[in-house]
Amino acid sequence: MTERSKLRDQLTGLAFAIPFLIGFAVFLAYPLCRAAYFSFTEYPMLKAPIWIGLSNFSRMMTDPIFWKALRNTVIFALMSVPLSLAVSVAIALLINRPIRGLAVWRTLVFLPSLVPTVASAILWLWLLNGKDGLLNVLLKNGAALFGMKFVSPEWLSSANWVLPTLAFIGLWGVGQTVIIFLAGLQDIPREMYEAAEIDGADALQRLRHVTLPMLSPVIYFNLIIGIIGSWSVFDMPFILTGGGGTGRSAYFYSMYIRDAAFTYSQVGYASALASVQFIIVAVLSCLVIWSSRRWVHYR
Amino acid sequence: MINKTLTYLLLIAVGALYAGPFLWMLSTSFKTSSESVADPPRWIPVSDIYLQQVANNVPMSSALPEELSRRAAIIKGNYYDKVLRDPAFDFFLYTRNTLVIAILSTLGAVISSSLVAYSLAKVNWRGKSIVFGIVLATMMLPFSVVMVPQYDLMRQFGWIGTNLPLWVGSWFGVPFYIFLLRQFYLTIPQELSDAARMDGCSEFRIWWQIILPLSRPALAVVALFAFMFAWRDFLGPRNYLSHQRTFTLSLALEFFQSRSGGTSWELLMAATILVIAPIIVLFFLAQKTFIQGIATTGMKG
Amino acid sequence: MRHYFPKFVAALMVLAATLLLIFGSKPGSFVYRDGRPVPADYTIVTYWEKWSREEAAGMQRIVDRYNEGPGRTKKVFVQFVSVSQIDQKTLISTAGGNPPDIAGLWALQMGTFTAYGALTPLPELVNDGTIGPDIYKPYVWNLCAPVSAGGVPYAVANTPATVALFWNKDLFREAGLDPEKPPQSIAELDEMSEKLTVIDENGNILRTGFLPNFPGWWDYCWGNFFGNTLWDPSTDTFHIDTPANIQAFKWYQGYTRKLGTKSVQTFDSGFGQFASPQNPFMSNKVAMCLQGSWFVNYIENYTPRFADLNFTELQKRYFAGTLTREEMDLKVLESRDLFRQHYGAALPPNSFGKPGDSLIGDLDVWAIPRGAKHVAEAMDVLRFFTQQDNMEALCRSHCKPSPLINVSDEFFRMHPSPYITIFDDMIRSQQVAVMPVSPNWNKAYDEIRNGYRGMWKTPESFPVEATLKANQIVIDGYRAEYLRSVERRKAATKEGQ
Repeated sequence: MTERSKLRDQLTGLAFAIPFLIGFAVFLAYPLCRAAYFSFTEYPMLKAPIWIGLSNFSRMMTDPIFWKALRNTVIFALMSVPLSLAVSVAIALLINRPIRGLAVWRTLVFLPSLVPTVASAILWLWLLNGKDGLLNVLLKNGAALFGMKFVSPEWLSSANWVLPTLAFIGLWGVGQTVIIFLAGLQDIPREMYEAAEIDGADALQRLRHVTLPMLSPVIYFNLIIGIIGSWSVFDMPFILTGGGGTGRSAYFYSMYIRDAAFTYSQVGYASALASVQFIIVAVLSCLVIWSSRRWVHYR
Repeated sequence: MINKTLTYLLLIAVGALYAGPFLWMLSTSFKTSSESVADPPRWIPVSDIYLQQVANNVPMSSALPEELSRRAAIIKGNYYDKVLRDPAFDFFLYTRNTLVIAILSTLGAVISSSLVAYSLAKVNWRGKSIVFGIVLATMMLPFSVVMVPQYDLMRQFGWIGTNLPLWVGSWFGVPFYIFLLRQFYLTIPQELSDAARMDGCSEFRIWWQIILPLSRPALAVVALFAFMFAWRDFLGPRNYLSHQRTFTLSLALEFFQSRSGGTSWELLMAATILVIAPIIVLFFLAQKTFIQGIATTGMKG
Repeated sequence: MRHYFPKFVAALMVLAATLLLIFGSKPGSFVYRDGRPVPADYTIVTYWEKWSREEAAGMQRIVDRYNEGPGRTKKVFVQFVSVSQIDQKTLISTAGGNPPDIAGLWALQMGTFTAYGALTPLPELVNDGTIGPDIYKPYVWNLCAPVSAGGVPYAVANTPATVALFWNKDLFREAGLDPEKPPQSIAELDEMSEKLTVIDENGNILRTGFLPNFPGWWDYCWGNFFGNTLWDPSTDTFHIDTPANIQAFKWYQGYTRKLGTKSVQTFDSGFGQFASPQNPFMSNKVAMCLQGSWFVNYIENYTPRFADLNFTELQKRYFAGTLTREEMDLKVLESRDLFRQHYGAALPPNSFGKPGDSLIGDLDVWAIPRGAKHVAEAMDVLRFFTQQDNMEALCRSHCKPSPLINVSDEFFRMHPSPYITIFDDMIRSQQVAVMPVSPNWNKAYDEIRNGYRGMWKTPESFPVEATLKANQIVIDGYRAEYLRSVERRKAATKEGQ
């Protein structure tokens, strides 16, 4: 390669990437730097920021709502991320089989992720209604079939049930993840299954030794996306629990950031909360990336 | 055989779980306001009059057409008179607003992301691994971290109350889509672009005439993702749009849920169905391209 | 690679999009009610209001009066928009420098909004005699020019709200109670409630006489009926952890404990929407509740017996020209009689004195956000809204009392509520608790609300004393933090000078 073509490559490469770099600088890096600055200030939205040093962070340490929101977010992530990964893989395996009406099944699974959150949240609110919500009626009738009496928990207002319920409802919106897994499954070469079959592997062994390892890069990808997503969860729990649930049992970190900024007009404190979240998510992502060497198989 | 039966049983169970709430939504949108809160709930929207007629052994031939015409009137009332013609809910204006944002941000995302992805996959230049690192890092940034500072930035630009914050950003490349497209471009044989380079093509022409036509399925995926995101987005419009005549559909849906608890379920559901119908049709028709598109991008990390 | 995006779908989409972009309504084009376009040289005053449906329609009529009358000569057009979550949106748009010219807020938000510096002060309207202590009832004026804002007027009063005890006379008769005798004290309320409560053989609650969390709009005020003062305006302190408040919430929680947590939860999760025939009061599931005067409108709108007599419908027909004024008035009187036969409204009872010794109220207000583009025009519009005839028309259509001291006889005589004088007397009374127009109200309210929700839903995990104590500590913390920030700001401006 000549010097000239090298230079040309260098320039075109940079030129093509420049929109992204500008966008990154203007829409992300600059606001993030400002947020980092704001987190050391007191900044009511309509007035100028005042430098207050570490006060926001020390306040956070003694702020029970911060700890509650953090705790809820972590617990929710621990429940919802593995659950939705497992369910998405299972559904993807199911609709990857040779079946009739493939398009219909795929659309069905994807359907809920098309419904605007406001509408689906309201719909669930209604399905879970304590007295004659559809779910409770079904469960009650189902239990009666087996001669049992079903006492429905307070899905959304009991402090113990609300997080599992939200994680369960989250399963309704895994369509996009399923589609990505489905694509991953189609990418696995037929020959690998054939070879496994010749070796006498049964269905379960094929799943364990062919499908899952081959799918592991996709799982890895979705795991990271899922972890990050679980830190941004907002609309659904906000509407379903009327802004945070009984005794803030479903008050999430992102809700607190938004409330602090837009309801209490404390942009400084909100920025401090966001900074802490940034650090936590960065550490978590690094952990996942580090661990991935042990379980993600690349061809 | 058993295997097949089991598969279909499972499929039906999954289908019911996913379609159930949706069917309920559809059924509710066909009801009157009192039917929509009837206890116990009815899956098939039928009126009390009809049930009574059936109980009184009125012949089907007269009861059923009567009920059907009654139902048709209710459906027209819900969808047309009370949603589409509602003076406070200007469906066509919101559709227009949503479309403007969705089309602009889709176009921007597709064009800019594929340019950036091309540079990261096909051009050799120093610093590209750093840029790719930035792409990955920004992809991992939760929205709530940037929500407040971005709002502050848009305020500095004087963009609050306009739709600019909702689509301008995507013209600068969207990390997730850059990542997808880069993975796809890596699968395109290097010889193709090298040959073109020998012929003296500029990089821009290689991208435009060789790479873009080859990457249609992947671009379709990105376009669909971007379009869907813009169509459904709630938090963005909620933060940035304040004047009603600029609202998007998903934001405007809130009107049907009033604060003092006067939600008309049947109208909310009818409006929701009107909002999602175009996207469902789009997905149903495009789903094969869509999945193959993702498959070819291969999430190989 | 021949799996292209189906071409005809793409073509269809493009076609639909283009058509919509070209022919869909354009943002920025304004029209009068009858579809006539507003001339291009008119000033557009944007007015956001929290109401929807019937209440919005009532306000729209007053706006139309302005647009067709003074608006024509002054070349001003008021664009009325009903907006959900108006407080947050107003704040966000004010911060973004793009607020509405008039915002319909709740008086309770005056404390936070003025502390954030989000509103335009309105001394001009006091000077020209539009608003002021000799125009508004005292309770109303105190909220428009709150102590926490140094007595500076920041709001124009809109419809006021005072709260009475409503009861269902039919259910009283059914339970063998005197339908004309509402409870005179909290003890009597409890006693009557027990008599009115119906529980089936499986232990399911079918009806309760009273349920403190329905509709739950003033839960933070329960202490007032036990002698608590929730908020002290002179020091801006909240009194949460007080004996009276503890007593109040023990009473509140007593209902859950007495009826059983599980049963109460099942019972009240079956309540329909407030504005629907399934409202528990209208569907006879709850026999007594605290409500404002507008409840009459709601009951009439959603109870079949008033199908032909409800004021909303009558007004619609009157404005459509299918009903004369005389006919409407006759119908109103008829509906008032019918209402009186079936429902009662009286001063709310309390634990320490006679009914009326403790009252709670609320107020809707109009304010001009800071940075509004058309302040002079907005003030002119507010002057028009505040005229006695317009104010009375609005209050009547909302079935509320008037905020003005001067009220016409006609207003009372033809008011859709047969009990309007009770509500009017209440706003004039000195006993109405001062609403907490504190700079810390947003945060304090979130805290209090979390507490009482917990105390109601799971009394086991929310013991009253501990919950209120925790509330008190957190809210005092908010206040201290606020004071610190005020000091800091003072110091910063001094330094800057």
